[in-house]
This record gives sequence, structure tokens and C-alpha cells, in this order.
Amino acid sequence: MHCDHARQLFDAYLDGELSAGLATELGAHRLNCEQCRHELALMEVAGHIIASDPDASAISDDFTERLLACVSPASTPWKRRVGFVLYVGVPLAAAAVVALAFLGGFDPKAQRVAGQKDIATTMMVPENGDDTPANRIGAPGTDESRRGKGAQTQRRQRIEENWEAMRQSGDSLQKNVELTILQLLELLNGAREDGTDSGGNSLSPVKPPTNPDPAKGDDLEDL
Amino acid sequence: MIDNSSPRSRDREAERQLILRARDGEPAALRALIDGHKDRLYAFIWRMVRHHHDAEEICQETFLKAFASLDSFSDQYRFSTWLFTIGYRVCLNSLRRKKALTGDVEFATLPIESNETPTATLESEDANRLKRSVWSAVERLSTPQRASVVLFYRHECSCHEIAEVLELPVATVKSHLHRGRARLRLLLEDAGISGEQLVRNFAG
Repeated sequence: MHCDHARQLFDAYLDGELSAGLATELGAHRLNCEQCRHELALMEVAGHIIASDPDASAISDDFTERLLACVSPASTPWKRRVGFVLYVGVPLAAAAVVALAFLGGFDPKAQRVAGQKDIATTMMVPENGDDTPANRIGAPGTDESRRGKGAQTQRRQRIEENWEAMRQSGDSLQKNVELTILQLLELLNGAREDGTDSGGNSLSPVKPPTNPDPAKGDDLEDL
Repeated sequence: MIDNSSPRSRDREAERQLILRARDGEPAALRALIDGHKDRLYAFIWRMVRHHHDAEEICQETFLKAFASLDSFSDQYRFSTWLFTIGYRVCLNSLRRKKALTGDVEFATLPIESNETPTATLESEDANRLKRSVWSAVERLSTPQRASVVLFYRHECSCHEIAEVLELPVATVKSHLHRGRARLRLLLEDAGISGEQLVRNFAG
């Protein structure tokens, strides 16, 4: 083997990629060639120093704690906070609003206990503006109230059963909230079906409350 | 198909489980990932930027970026390789910013940090001079050459792993490594260190 050929093999040899046969050939040449021996020795020693010289600088002892403080919930980056609000907070809030509207607007007991009217109740007030308890749709003592109460109890039971099943199945919070909102909307819609049929025909199609100002839209439809 | 019988595949499986827990934000898993990789990552980054504070900032940014995109981590790669890839990218951006602000970064002119000296006192003056010359030469290599040399020798990465970290083709990595070696030899010879001298002083 000549020096030119040997030098072409240096990198493959130092990379550890030279075949056993060529490595033997290079070793034999190295023993006989002082120049190649010196060149290889220089690169091997440099490589050994780079590989094994102790680290000249060390990371701070409190690095892990400082980093964990950055990823803790208290310092969650704004994007994650926004994401949390969008995907969890808003559905939760919507579910709470719908639940409150339903309980406040259609639970006569709750109405009596609270002793006040809320938005949902206001939306159910007939056009004549008479907000007396007896004139409210679904007010206690009316036929609509009795018919609606049974259906509402069944739907409410169904929601509670589904919610429990979802919790046990380990579905994500967001998915559960979305499903609950859908079911609450269904419940609310059903309550409207029961309540708006003031003529006593519970099978008649749902008739949304008349809005005196069409530009403002229909609050119930918006829900 | 994953062979769960070998120690390597068991390590990969344990790492995969750790990452799944970290994805859920479990503090213990995040801590384990940081503690398991911070020293090696810092050692690599420090060799690239030669500044303790900058190196720690880059490490911190690297971990934060990695944690923010854990969902995109593919377990066909080693977590350390993926982390080094992010770290190298952050490091390049930092070096570019520094270069834009102050011109070329000449690492060889930077003061050597004081904690490099204690190990030096334990060895002969010739050995210390040799070490200083080698590291000085490493710092004069181009950024990809230095990264290739440090990853190959110090972190025992294969050319394929270096290619993943540097996001370059394997052939390009080999070229950086071989040119880096050639430059090291020239710089050492310029510093008065020859193979002949080494063989004479240290052989046997």
C-alpha cells in the first residue's frame, strides 16, 4: 500500500467504517511508514481528547427547578391558556348558561325559591307582557306544566345516566361537555315543545316565541 | 415490530411511556425527561456557544419547545436525538443573532472559563498544552464542522444520528466531519503540535 492510498483510507478508518481487510492493510502500512503513523497519531490523540476531556462547564444545579417553574400551570404560555379557554372554558360556560336557563326557566320550585325572574323566564313571557305566575308558560297548576314535568324528568334522568356513563368510559372533558350541551339543548327544546303548546295539543309543531323586533333575532333560536 | 426482549427496546419502551405521561403534563415525567438529558444537551450546546449563561438559555428554550411539541414527537426516533435537533436549531438562531449584533463570533478569542483550569493542574504541562491546542482548534472550526466533530467524538453519535440532529444529508455530514478533521490537523500543526512530537512524547 502506498501513502496516497493509505491517506484516502484515513477518514473511513477514523469513522470506524473501514472493512477488516483494509484496516489490516492500513495497519501494516502504518508500521512501516513514519509519516502516515504520525498523521494518524495526531488525529487519534485529538479525537481522544475531544471524547474524554472532562466537561469544562456544568449546568446549574437549579436548572430543572427553574425549567419546571416555566412549565407549571401557573405560568402556562398564553397560547395554551387561550386554547384552554377556547376548548374547555367556553363549552363549560355555555353548558352552565344553558343549565341555568333551563333550571331557572322551567323549574317552578326553583322559581319559587329564588323569588325572581331570569332571562329564560323573560323569554317565555307571552306577548301581552303579563308576567304573572299564572300566565307563564308551564306555570304550576296548568296542564302544560303537568305534561311537561313528566317529559322533563325523563330527559333529565337520561342526561344524568349518559353523563355518568361518559365519566366512567373516560372520555375527554371537552367531548363530555359538548355532548352535555347538545343534550341540554335537546332538553331545552323539548321543554319549549311542551310549554309553548298553550292550546293543550302537545303534538303540535314547535312555534318559536314571536319577537317584536326581528333585527334583534330570536334568543332561543340563537341558543 | 418492536422486539421487547432486548435491553435497548425496553429502554425505548420506557422512554415512550415517559413521553406519553409528559404529554399529559405529569410533572414527574417532565422532571425525568429534563434530568435524563440536560447534562448531555448542555455539554453539546456549551461547546457550540462557549458561554454558560447563553448555553443555559438555549437549553431552557430547547426543552420548552420540545415540551410544547411533544405531540409531534415520533417514537421511531430517540428522544435525545430529537432534543439535540431542536437544541442545534435554537443554537444556530442564537449564533446568527449574535453575529448580526456583533459581527463574526470568534470563539478562540473568548476568555476560557475559570473552571477549565482545575483539571489542567493534575496533568503535565505538555498534556495541558495539547488539550488547550485541540480545543482551541475545535473552536475555530465552522459551526457545522464543530457540531459534527463534537457529536461524533464526544457524544458518540453515528453519522446517521448527526445527520438527523443537523438536519443534513449523511454525505454532507461526512464531508463536514472529514473537512473538520483536516482543518484540526492543520491548526494543530500551526500551533506547533505534530504527530511526530506526540509519538515521541506520549507513546509507550
